[in-house]
Order: sequence, then C-alpha cells, then structure tokens
Amino acid sequence: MVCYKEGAGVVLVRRLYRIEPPGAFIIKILYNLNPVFRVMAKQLMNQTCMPVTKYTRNLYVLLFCTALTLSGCYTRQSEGDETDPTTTAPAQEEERVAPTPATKTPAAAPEKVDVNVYLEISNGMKGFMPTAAAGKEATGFQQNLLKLLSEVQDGRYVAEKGFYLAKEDAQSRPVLDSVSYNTMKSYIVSGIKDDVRGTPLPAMLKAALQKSLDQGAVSVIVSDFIHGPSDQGQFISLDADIRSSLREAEHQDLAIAILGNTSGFFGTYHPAVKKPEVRRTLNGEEIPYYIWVIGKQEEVQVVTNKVLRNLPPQQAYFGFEYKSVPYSALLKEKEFRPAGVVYCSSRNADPCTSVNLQPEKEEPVEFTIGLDLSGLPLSMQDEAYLERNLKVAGNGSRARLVSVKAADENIKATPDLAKYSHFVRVQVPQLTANSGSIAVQLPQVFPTWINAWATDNDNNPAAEPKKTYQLDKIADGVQALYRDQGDFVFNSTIQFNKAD
Amino acid sequence: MAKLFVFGIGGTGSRVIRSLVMLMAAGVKIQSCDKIVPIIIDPDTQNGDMNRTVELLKTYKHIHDALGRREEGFFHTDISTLSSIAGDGTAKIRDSFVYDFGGINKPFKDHVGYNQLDVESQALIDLLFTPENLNNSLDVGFRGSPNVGSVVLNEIIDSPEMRFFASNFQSGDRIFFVSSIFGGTGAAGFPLLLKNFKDSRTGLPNAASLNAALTGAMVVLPYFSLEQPAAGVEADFIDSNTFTTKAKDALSYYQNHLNGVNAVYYMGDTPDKPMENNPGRASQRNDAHLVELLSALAIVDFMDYSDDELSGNETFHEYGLREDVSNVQFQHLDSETRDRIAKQLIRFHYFERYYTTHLPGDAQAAYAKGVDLTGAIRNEPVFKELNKFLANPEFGYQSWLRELSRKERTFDALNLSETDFNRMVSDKHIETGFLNKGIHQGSFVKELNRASESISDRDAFKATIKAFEKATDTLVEDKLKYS
Amino acid sequence: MIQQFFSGLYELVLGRPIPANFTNDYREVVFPNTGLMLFIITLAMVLVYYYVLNRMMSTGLYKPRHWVIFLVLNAVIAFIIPIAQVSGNDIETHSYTYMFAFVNVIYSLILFFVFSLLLKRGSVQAWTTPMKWPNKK
Repeated sequence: MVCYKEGAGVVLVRRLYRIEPPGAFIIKILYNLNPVFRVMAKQLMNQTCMPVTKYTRNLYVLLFCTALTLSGCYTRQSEGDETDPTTTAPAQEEERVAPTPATKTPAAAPEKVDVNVYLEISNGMKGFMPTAAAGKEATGFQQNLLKLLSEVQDGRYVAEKGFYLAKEDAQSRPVLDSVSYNTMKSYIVSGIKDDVRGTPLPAMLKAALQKSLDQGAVSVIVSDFIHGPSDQGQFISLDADIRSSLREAEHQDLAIAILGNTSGFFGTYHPAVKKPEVRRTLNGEEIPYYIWVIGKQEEVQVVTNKVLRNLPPQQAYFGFEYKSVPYSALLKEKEFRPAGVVYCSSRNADPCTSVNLQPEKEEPVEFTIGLDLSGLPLSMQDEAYLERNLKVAGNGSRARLVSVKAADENIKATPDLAKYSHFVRVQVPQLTANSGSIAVQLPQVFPTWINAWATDNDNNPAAEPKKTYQLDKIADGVQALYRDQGDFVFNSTIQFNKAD
Repeated sequence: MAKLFVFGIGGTGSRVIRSLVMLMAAGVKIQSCDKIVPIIIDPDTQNGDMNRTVELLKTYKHIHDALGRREEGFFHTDISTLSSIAGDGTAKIRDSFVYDFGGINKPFKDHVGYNQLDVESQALIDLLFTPENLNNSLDVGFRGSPNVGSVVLNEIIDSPEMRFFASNFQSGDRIFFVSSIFGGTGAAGFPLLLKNFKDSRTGLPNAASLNAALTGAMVVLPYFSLEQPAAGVEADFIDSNTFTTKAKDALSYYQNHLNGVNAVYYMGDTPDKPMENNPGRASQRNDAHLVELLSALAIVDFMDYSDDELSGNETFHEYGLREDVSNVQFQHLDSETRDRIAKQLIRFHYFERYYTTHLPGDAQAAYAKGVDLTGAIRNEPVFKELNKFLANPEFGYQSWLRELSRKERTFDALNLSETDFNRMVSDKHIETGFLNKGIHQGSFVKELNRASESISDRDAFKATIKAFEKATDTLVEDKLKYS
Repeated sequence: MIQQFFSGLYELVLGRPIPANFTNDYREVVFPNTGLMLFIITLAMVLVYYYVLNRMMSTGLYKPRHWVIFLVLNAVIAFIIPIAQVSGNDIETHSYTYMFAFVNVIYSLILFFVFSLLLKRGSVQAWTTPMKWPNKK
C-alpha cells in the first residue's frame, strides 16, 4: 500500500458519491480504470511492490463494484425511457392517439401585422367627431380613435397599413375610400364633411373584409353599428345577413373581436327606429360605438393587445380557439402540493398530462393543473372570469373545480412554474372507471354585456343610454358563423389511470 | 507386519523408553516396523521411573488409538502391550507394558532357598553375595547388584510372558535392549535375555526366528552419581562409586560373551551433581536426562538400518556431541540427529505450547468451531488423555522437558518458560518487525484454520491433531525457516 | 422487472409511498436503486469479510463479534442509502422515508445473514462464523 501512490484510486473513490446516468458513469469508470491497469502493469514489471499488488488488485475490483453500486443504476435524469412497461404503456398509447397539446408548438404570435382601418363616416357618426374648437374637450371617441390611428401609423407592431373611409353610394352600395393617415385624422379631429345617408351594415362588413383578405391585413372596423338599410325589411334578417357577410372570415379561419365602448355624442343622432323621432339632437349623451377586429386569431391578438391596448371592458370574441394551451398537472411543486394519492404516470414527463390517482373516501384527490393562458384575450385571463366559466369535466371520474389562481410574482420567479399563467385546482373525490380523463375547459361564452347593450328601440338614447339597436342579433349572426367549430376556447385534458 | 520389541531393563530402561515415547509423540519416524512393543523388566514394581513410563505409554496408546494408523505425524507410531500383539485375546498373560514378576517380595536369601541348602552351597553363596544382597527384599530390585539380578532374572525365561513373546515372535521382527551397564537389573538382565534368545538350544518356542532376529542394544554407561549418605548414618543405599568399576567389569564380560547382537550403542557422560539416593521403590524417580533422550535415538537409528546392513558384522556405535557444552541446543547435536528430531520436537513443542495456553480462547475459530472442539474437549476422554500426556506433573511432556533442563548438562533447545513463539527455539529466533509479527496467536490460528480447511476428518480429536501437524509444519518451514 | 421486484419488496412492508406524488420516483428510482445497492453492497461486504479479510488476508477478524461489526456497518450503510437516495432525488422527506430506511436496515440484516450462509464455506478463516451450520466439516 505504501509504495502505491498513484492518484487513480483516489479519483475512483471520489466518483462514488456522484450520481450520474449509468451510461456516462461506466464510461468514466473505464476511462479511469485504464491508467490504473497501466500503473499496475508497470509495478508488476518493477517487482518493487510485488507482495502488495495482489491485494491492491483485489482492492480495485472491490472499489469498482462499490462504485457501480453507489452510482445507482436508475437516475432521475433518464430521458423518459421508461423501463417499467406496465404502468406507462397505456399512457403512452393515449398520448399517441391524442397528441398532447403541449407537443404542438403554438403558432407564434406574429411580430408585426398588416392593419386596415375602416372608419364609417355616415351621418350617424358625425356626433362622435364634432369639430374641434379651443376650450372644447374632445370626445372619448376622438381620443381613442386618434390613439388607435397613431398606433397604426407609427406603432412598431404594424407593418403595412391602410386607412379607409366607409360610406355608401347613391345606390346604397358600400364604398371604401382609401385615404391617407392625415386625411383620416383630419376627419376625426375636424368632423365629417360628407353627407352619407345610411349604413348597410352587412354589405359594409363584407366589403371591408374582402378588401382586407385581398391584402392579407387585419381589419379594424370602427362604426356605431346602427343598421341603416335602404329597406326596412332587412332588419328582420339582420343576423342571417351578418352571418352571410362574414362567411368568408369563417372560411378563412379568421376570428372576430368586438370591443364595445361609448363616447359623448354631440349632434344629430339617427336612431334605427324612426318613431317617434326620425332624428334627435344630442349634446354629450353617451352613445355606443364598436371596434371590430377581424383577422387571424393571432393577428387579432396583436391588434387588440398591442395596438389598441387599453381595451374597454365590453369585449366579445368569436372564432377564438386555442388548440394548444400548454398545460401540465403540477404534482411535485411545493406551491401546489397535491392531496390524496396522485402522481404523474410518467416520472419525468414534463408536461405531465397523464396521472395515476386513487381517491379515498376520507382523502379525495386534489391537485393543480398549470395552464399557460397568456395567449388568450385578456378578458379571458381574468381570474374571476375563469372561475366563473371554467369547467372541469371528468370522464370516468367525478371531478370539480376548486379554484383558479393567476400567477403572482412569486410563482413567476419559480423556473418550473414561470411557463404557466394560471393554476387550476381540481378535486377528484371519486373514480367511476379505472381510467379516463379529466378536462379543464373554457367554453365559448356569449358575452352578457351584448344583451345588456342591445335594444329593440333606440329612439331615445337619452332615456336609455348605451344601447344599440339589435346588437344581440348582430352578435347572434357572428356567433352563428362559428357555431360548428369547437365548443371550447381551449380544452386541456389530463388522462388518468387508477393508481395501483 | 514387522514389530520391534524393546526391552527396557531396569530404571534406565524405563527412562529411555520415556524419552522414546516423547520422540514418537513428536512424530519422529521409526523405520522398518509398524508396531513397537515395549516390555519393561524391572522387579521393583513400585519403581517411580517405571510407573510413570507405564502411565505415559498407556496415555500414548490411548491417543494413538484415537488417531488411528498413520504414516507420519504426532503419535503416529503404534505401540502395543505384549499381550495384545496376538490380537485375538488368547493371551493368558497380564495386559501390561511391564513384565510381571508375580510379587517376589521375599529376601533373596529365601528366594534361592538359602536356608535349605547344604553348607557347601551356602558357603558358595556367601562367597558370591554379600549379606546385604542376601537379606534385601527383591521387590525393590537388585540395587545395583548384577550378581543378584542374574540369578533372579534367569528365571523369567521360563515365564508365560517370555513363552508368549517367543511364540508370537515372527521373522522380520526385531529386538532391542535398553539397559544400564552400571546398575543391577539392567546389567544383569541384558546379557541374560540375549543369551537365552540367541541360544540355539533354548527352551523357548519359535527358537529359529528368535535366533535369527536382528537385535540391537543400548548400553548406557554411567552418567549420573548418587549422593553418599552422611557419615554414620546406617542407610540403605546404592553406592554410585562402584558404577565405574561395575561398568568396566561388565564391558570386559561383553567383550567376550556378547554374541548375537547386531548393533550395540554406547552412551555415557561425566556425572554431574549427585542425585538423591533412593534405591528402588516409588522414590526412585529420577529426572529425565539428555543421555536418555539421546539413548532413545539409538532405537531410531537402529531401525534406520535395513536388514541387509545389519546382517553383517556386529556394529558398535558411540554417541558424541559436536561441542562439550553444558546447555545443549539443537545446533550442538550432530546434523544427523538434528535432522531426525529437531523439526519434529519444535513442531510438537509449538503444538503443546499453543494447545495449553491459547487453544481455550479459540472457541470461535474455524478450526475449533468446525468440529465443536470446545464440546469435544469437555466430553471426549481422549482430550483428557492428551492433557495428561502434555501436562501431567508426573510424566507429562512439560515435566519431561523441565526435568531435562534441570541438570548440569541440560537440554536447552526448547524453552518451556518462553511464551513468545518467536523465541522458543533457543538457537533460532524469528526476526520480527513492524509488519512481520512472526509466530503469534493470530498467525497460529490462521494456519490452523487454513490447515483444517483441507482436513476431512469430522472427529474433533483427529481433526485437531492433524490441523496442528499441518500448521506447525507450515510455521516451522515458513516462519522459523529451520534447517 | 427489477423495479417492480424491489418496489413490491418495499411496499409489501411500507405500503404506498408517501407523499403519494412521488410514487413513481420511489418506484422507478429510489426503490430499485436502494434495493440494488443494498444487494450489491451487502454482497460486497460479505465477500470482503469472508474472502478478503478471512481468506486472502487472514486478518484474524474471524470471531462472531467481528462478523457482527460488519453486519452493523452494513446496516448503517443500509440506513444511509435510502435517505441519500430520497434527498438525492429531490423527494420530500417524510416519516415514510425513515420507515423506509428502517425497513432497509431490516432487509440488510436478513440479506447479510443469507449471504453469509451461502458464502461462508469459501472462507478459510471464518467459515464457522457466525456459526458452523449449515456447513459440515
């Protein structure tokens, strides 16, 4: 022992306490052993340590065995290559049949979008844009629109832009006049000089949509959406007409966001219902106007979130569907400690979309699912909204929603959790089958404010403010477009097996 | 199945046989025979030397029988009483290593019927024997008086024992006499027995075989002296001053009348400190002496010769040391002697030392546990025999060795009081160092375990003895490196 | 196979892993690792005791109390392994962890004993340790 001073042995000993994947470890062992054998051979030739070598060799064999042992043969880092076929096989099958949402990378939100802004300039719109005068405050409409135009013109998120004034010709056909930024700005600031009688709403939407489709741009349509058809009978079929006009949007997989807002109105108000008054002069009453954003889902998101920014509380989204909301059952996080017998079917799965669970009578299973909803429209990310609307559906189990929590600063600072924006606590008190699924779903919800803002008689806006004639019908028409698409904005499904 | 009949005549004969037994126990090989039949001839039935030799022989036989027949090793040489050599139980004689004189406890005068003799005969007897000779009781022996011995011993030729001996004597068997030349029994007995065995007209059965038998004799010359009683004390004693004179007379007799002996061995020493003067009976129990040990070697030597080598002219041997030293060690012995006994005695000594001092603590060691040695020692009588053989204060190995070192010329080769195995052999100490501890309890038990590994015996006694044989052999070869 | 075997072995006594959310860390990593290490280390300890110390080297450590020392040493290692495994794999420690360590100690005692029985015959110095049975001379 004494004359054996080479360091190889020491290296080996130090290795003992490191836990590494088995493959890597064996290579290291072999690498380290080589010099050992070389040294031993040298000493055998020298004969100087003859009586010792026999024991040292034995010692090395021993060390090698010990090293193998202490390294452990199963390690945490293994790449999901499960050696236990029975517990994981079903999970894998399911994954193959229904690929996990997380494996599909969501269409990245585009950096820049093309935007066409359509401003309706019928006579009914004039009251939103009174001529500016010193000492007179601009209307909310003017303020918002100027911001919007400026953002479209100079904002970093808009690539190509077009500005159009929407009106109708003598035959009540919609006309879209391409104007410059400055022209449109002057319309807003200085008021509308033209005399445009009415607004054939479906036709105008169709024309604007068609133009945007041709140019591959997102349509931003600003109007009071008071239908002014040449033929009063059209009121009856408004929903169907709207649907028809936007048919192309649905075909092209476009989504529609409707943002409702009000603004002080100064001037002549043209109600849809012409009795008792054909027109009224208003002086600052709040009249609703709407910004419709039509385009690809992601592009609409860019426009609503980054171009329009401060959105009014009245938002409605149609055709929005998220096939790939990243989600995962969070079972090992200290912040979201599960209760009862529940564990991920696959030890290293990230995200974990398949769990094994076993609720007991006294101890129902409760665990948290992390969801990345940051791609959703902002109103849908609201905790209260989600709590109200999220559904937890169990297949083969009874499952219910316990709570929804948005990520706070603390969670954002946790690396494993930072990728999720919301955390849904789910309780499973009972299983009714040995395997099944638990789905967290956000249904397509018809916004309640639309019914509140709709009216069948808009003749007297002063008495009944913030109402738009047959807004519900318009919205129905839009909604009808997407009726055959998915029922859910997103649907995140966790597979489960009864724990053994 | 050749046998060797060893006639140990008188006290010296007993003592030489005692040493012989020790050599046999140590495993010294005695060639050309597979059984030794010691016959002790001593009319002094109370003789201390004789009695402890007999006890020793009995113990040895027990141990040997437990171990069975073997070619080598401790206790491997078979010994047998005269009566049991027939092996069929037909012997009508007493089963003993000692010739039975049948209780002659009367004075010599009565034995020869002095009072019934006519005057002329009485006068002749008066001429040949002193009044002490005539009045002394025979059961204490002949007290250094060959003239008495020759008369009495002549009668044993016709005894059933001698007839039994003769009729069971087979061609190929050898005879060896051990006697002192200066005493009474030995000096008289040896020529007398020889003459009768070799006489072609002898009345003994099987005469032809006896006549032709290869015969050796160890004639021990004076090697000790006895204390003279204080002046004025009327005491019963042997006068050791007459030893030399008697030896000279006897030798001159041998010169002309000793026929039929093939090899004669002589051994003597200058007497040292006089011993207690105890003529006969139990009190005649003299310490073992180097001369006796070396005399026993004569038997070994005699058996080393082949029949052909002995058949020629008589050969005469004298023993000499390499150096005249008072503390004799192995190196002072002639190399032939040394080769014959040194390793065996060292091994036996190691065995004895370990067995008595360390073995009780080895209950958990593999060699012991494997055969449940602890239980066996407690329950099997043969272990008690072994203990007796080694440690009996009367006749055991320890006392034998101790006695050997008590004399002026001592046998100092093995140190009984040394507890360190590395220093037990006087002329060869084991060098020890930091890593090499030489022989110690640990290395000994290691060797015992290793040895027991290859021993298949399940009998505790056999396995243990064999383990010790192997272990001591390895220790002597590898550690002591004795050559 | 091995995973199931060891998981079964430990869960037989301990029941389902607690906290349950680390169940497959226990089943796929900790149990098989601990079991394998227990097996190999115990085997190594027995081999060292019987073949290195009491055959190649003849150290004189043949008495039952030396054997017990190794048994205890092995048990201590067997206690440490599960705890090291659990904390090494970022699993929350729980009283279950210590029960697991304790059960592992019990297994180590049994295994050490069994290996001793199987292997002691090959030892020169200690084949009767801790007892002669079942070997015969």
